Amino acid sequence: MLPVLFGISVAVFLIVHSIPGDPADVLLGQNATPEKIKIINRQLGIDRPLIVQYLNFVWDIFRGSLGTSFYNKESVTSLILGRLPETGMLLTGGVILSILIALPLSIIAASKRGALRDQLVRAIPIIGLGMPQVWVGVMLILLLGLKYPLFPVGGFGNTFPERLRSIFLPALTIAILLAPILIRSLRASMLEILDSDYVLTARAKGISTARITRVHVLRNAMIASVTVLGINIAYLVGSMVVVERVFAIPGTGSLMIDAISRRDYPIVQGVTLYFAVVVVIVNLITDLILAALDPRVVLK
Amino acid sequence: MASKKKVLVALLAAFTVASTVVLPLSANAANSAPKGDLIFVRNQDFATFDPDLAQNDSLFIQEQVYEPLFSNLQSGKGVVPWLAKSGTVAKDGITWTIKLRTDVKFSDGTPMTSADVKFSLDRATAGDGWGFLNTAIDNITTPSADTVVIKTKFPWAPLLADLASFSNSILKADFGGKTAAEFFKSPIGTGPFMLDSWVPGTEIKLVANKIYWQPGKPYLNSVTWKYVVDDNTREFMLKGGQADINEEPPANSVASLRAAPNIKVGVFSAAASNYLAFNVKVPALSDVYVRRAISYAVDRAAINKVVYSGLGTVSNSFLAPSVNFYDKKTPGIQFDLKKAAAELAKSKYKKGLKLELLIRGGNKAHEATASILQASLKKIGITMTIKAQEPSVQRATQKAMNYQMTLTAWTMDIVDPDELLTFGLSPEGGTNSYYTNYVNKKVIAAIKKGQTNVDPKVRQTAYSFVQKQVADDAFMAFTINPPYIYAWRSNITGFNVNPMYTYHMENVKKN
Amino acid sequence: MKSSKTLYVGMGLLGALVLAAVFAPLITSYDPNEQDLVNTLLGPNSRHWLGTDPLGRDVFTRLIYGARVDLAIGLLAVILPYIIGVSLGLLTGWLGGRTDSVVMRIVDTVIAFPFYVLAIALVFIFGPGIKSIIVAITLVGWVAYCRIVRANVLVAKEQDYVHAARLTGLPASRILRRHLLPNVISQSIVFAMSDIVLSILAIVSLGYLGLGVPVPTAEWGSMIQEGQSYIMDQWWLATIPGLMVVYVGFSLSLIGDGLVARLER
Repeated sequence: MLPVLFGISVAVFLIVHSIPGDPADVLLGQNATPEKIKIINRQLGIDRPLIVQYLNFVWDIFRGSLGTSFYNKESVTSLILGRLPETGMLLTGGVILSILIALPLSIIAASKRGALRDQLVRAIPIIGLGMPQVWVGVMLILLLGLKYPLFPVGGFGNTFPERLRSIFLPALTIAILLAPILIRSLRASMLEILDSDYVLTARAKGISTARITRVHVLRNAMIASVTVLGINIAYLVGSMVVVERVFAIPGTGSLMIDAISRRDYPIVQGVTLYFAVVVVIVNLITDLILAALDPRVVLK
Repeated sequence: MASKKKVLVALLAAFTVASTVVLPLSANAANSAPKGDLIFVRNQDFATFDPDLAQNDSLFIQEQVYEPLFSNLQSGKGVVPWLAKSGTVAKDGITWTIKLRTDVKFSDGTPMTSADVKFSLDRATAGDGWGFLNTAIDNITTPSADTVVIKTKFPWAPLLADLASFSNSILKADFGGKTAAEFFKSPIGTGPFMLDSWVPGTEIKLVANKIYWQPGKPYLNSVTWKYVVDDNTREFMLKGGQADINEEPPANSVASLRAAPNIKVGVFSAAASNYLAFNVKVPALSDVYVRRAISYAVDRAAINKVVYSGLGTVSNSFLAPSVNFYDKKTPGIQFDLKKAAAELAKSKYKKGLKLELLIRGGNKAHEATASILQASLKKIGITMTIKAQEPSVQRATQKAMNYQMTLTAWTMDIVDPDELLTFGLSPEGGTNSYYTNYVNKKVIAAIKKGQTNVDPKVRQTAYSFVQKQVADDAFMAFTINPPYIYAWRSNITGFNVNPMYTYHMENVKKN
Repeated sequence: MKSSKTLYVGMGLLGALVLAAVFAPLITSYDPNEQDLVNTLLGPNSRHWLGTDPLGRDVFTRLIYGARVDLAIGLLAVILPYIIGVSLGLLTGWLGGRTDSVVMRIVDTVIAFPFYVLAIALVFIFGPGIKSIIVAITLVGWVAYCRIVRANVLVAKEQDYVHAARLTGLPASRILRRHLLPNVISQSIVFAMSDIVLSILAIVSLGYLGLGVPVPTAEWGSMIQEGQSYIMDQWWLATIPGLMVVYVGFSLSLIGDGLVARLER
């Protein structure tokens, strides 16, 4: 984990500092003359040599700080923590909804290979994979936000039930992207299990299909989903940028996008590191769950 | 120069009349407690309560918390006393005496005095951001608690207009004993609203200041500005009743918004201009005929139709029509491909040439303008390529003058044209004429004359000359004067935006 | 559907689009950038099959010409990562040891690095355009191929035929090229099919964030972005380019599925 974080800290530092444009220019707008930019750069400490700035950045991390935003002078740590409920609920909601969509469909498909229902379910990933999220989001808002106003069209409520309602449509947008990927591997893994020797043995012993499905197939389905989610987590976290913007959810993705266009170096660095930590931790949890579910997996 | 003072007093008398209309003094405060919580959606994120660093993202909201001594008229053509009772200039033309209202209290209950005014103006003058507006100010003294005397270095006509700028808002003296950073986290002003909560990047909520000096106001209990980037989402939120006012809906949605029940649309005239800027250091563009040819080739009506759905106006002058001293008769170049070809024939580039236009990537107005311009320049033999850069990079390129042509814009912050003319045409603006390298000594002299004369007639003559000269020189092509567009739920009343792009939320009601 | 049928249908669908893109000038008489500022925002009609956009340009024409750009980006944005990823995967899987652990640390870093931070930063640095998009996707995309190939090599290395080849003293490069490559490459091709779609989707997302292919180039992502503001009144402006992306995704998925079924045989 440490080499990864070190690599990321260097990479993000170099990248943000090679973007042209001054933070001071963003702060002062039209009024930013070269001398004023110099003054502001000194105040922000970005006139010092790059290596000194990098060491400061790392030193701050060891003291538990990610610095202060250039733009609104808030601590980066508290800005990220402030976005945790939004991002957390959105991600969890998206994952839960996609499992709720993918699992029953995969079971239906795998129950009879090659039948019409199998063909129909197999068409879902084929079509769903190519749908642009922006478009899916806007269509969901038009349908379930305005035509049949069941859900808020944007924003994030203040109470927990409000928030649940607010994140439903964005989470559904994520699920529409994620479920096809899940269906694909779930169906494949279920078919594999149903064809395997021990299920055939179980059938031969006269154990009912329902029971086989429940015990063996479901467990293996869980393994497949956890693997898929683990692999796609980085992609998911990244793609939330778009969903957050369409639904006006102030999560970490929009925090980052705004920060890049404002040259708010501390936030870009902080959020990137935070994303990296999330990805690493999720991969760790994936391994742990897999080990618990699948006796064949041995943790190193 | 007695006439100067007379003129000013006459102007102020007019302002006072206006002020009595705006501010009913009959204290009918007992009528109602503030009620209603209003929600704004906008695509800009509030950044700071420091007036010196305020940009459009922050200043509209600051203006509900802090107030200046003078305030811009709704017409955009003058100022009225606000926290001041009056402002007069002595015969010497450089000594300004400002009487303050005595009934104004800060939101923490302490009265506003001349000490607060001196502190705030001195700080503003020293500011890195907007201090340049106050460069004429020499010193400020406070003979009594309700009197402030400002001495300018030379006669300076725009002073009262400058004092009406948000950057000259009155803050509590010495930040109420706090550090600047602490103060701007919990600001204290005299305005109708006070800070309740601020979640950076999400929303900021202000609540009514119960001891506001204008009796009976504000009407609203609270105002919340939510940061919603996506244009469609803002519109959906307004239509779905999740928002009361939408700032800057896209112009092409105005027709459908007007047709929607429960929605009202305000298209406000703006002291704003869009320009096509030429870098006159580029050999081809140092040729005035090439500049004039390109300017003739800008299909302004088409741009207005595509980008602003016809809600803007075609521009003929460096100054927008709602700016003081704008001259309607300015011979600004209009779309005419025949004349464009004729101008090009007079230049050294009869056989055509290649040029590059720098625009902001992702900016729909820039993209459409560029596409339209590219098509019409092709017809007169100019091959124009389009180079897009991220907005902040584009600004940096523009300032470094590493471009050939670019799109730029201006919004007036004060009612006096001096701010823009100095910034855009005079070496004192420090911008090489809005980063175009254009220099015309006659223009610079006329601007100086306009600054230092208080007589409106003298100023008008000077400014008319400036407008005609820069139009003939075509140092920029003046394209469109865009409007400010707002849409709101029809139960909201009293919402008005002035040409300086500011609004008074204390006048707004939610029924 | 039989696997070969799936494969052929997919190839047929994609082939039709490729042909249309290549022979665009024969299919439509309009120029994709030709403006008609009088006839803007027309609905579908006999002269303009899919109507006109805000600048009066023919949407159908822009859609076909847009296929050139999008298919080219999709392809380029897969070929480069594919070559880099497959070579590195073969190399590290074969060599193992320190090379392997260094490359795998880099892979871990790239995976944990948010794609959009990189993509947006590159667009800011190099300016919006096809180059920045391809560089960004390449910098990130190779990782997946590297992992797939490496895993396959690790398995294949232990197979009898490779052991046998090694024992007979064949040079490493030859074993890699002749014996391992054909076996491990097939799986990565299947992945590449869905990767092309993901690249096109990334372009659409970047377009939505205002960082896409600059005007006036006809390109589906920019067309979706331009159409966004007209979603209430001229919904087809943003929807039809979106459907084109779905169409490409559909045909590539069929091809991918067909290939999988072939390989399993």
